[in-house]
Amino acid sequence: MAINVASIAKDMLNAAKPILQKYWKEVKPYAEKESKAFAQNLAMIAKLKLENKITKEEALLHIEIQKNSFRTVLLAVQGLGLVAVENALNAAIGVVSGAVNKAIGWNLL
Amino acid sequence: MTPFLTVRKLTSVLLLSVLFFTACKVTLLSAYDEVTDKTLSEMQQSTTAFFVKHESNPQSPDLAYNKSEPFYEGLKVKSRTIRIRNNAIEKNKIMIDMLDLLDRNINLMDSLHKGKPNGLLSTNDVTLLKSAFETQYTAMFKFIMALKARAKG
Repeated sequence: MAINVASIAKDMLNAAKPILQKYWKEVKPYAEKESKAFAQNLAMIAKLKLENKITKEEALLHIEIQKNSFRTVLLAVQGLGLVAVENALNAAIGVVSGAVNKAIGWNLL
Repeated sequence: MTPFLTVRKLTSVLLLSVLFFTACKVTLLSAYDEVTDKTLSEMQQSTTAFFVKHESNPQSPDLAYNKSEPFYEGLKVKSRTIRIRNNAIEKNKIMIDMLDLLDRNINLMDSLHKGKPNGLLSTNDVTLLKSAFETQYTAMFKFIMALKARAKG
């Protein structure tokens, strides 16, 4: 039985696409919400400094804390993306291994 | 043999070779680690309890820096202990970077608290710190939960 590469490639893409779409659908609102919270917290620090409710040193410490917190959010987005890519790759490999095994008549992959 | 067939055959061989060497399953990240999950949960509970005390009884002398030192020390010990553990795990850069940022924020909060003339964090300090730490723990748990779900899947 011949292996139809074009068809397998299309099936691989179809297997991977919904996984990546699901990732973005879940991650986008999370990233947006946290970006907004980060901006609001920075605005609050600026306001407190302008009103002399905190010192310059305290403002700098707060800014650094908020930046580290937001960096962790970006790392989570990156990590969730890698999990999605891994799932998508494995789904695509699952498709091609099924097709290859069927074509050769035994489990090569 | 037409050029088209040659290309097709070559592509098939290439595809098979790639699959042969990738040996079925791709892993880009470390496996889920239960100890990290458990330790972070303990740290998160301890931090939440600290903020709840400040919210329910602000300006209480019991919340002064000199009485909060065991809280900071406890968090630092746990943070550095899981950092060492995670350093030994393969494909774990994201979690290591997250733990470093958490450790940095614990130290920064310690410095902020230590620098207060009356030894007490203000309500505004607590609002900002609570938001930052909640965001940070949530991000870490989101990633850990994704690793856990992947391990089950």
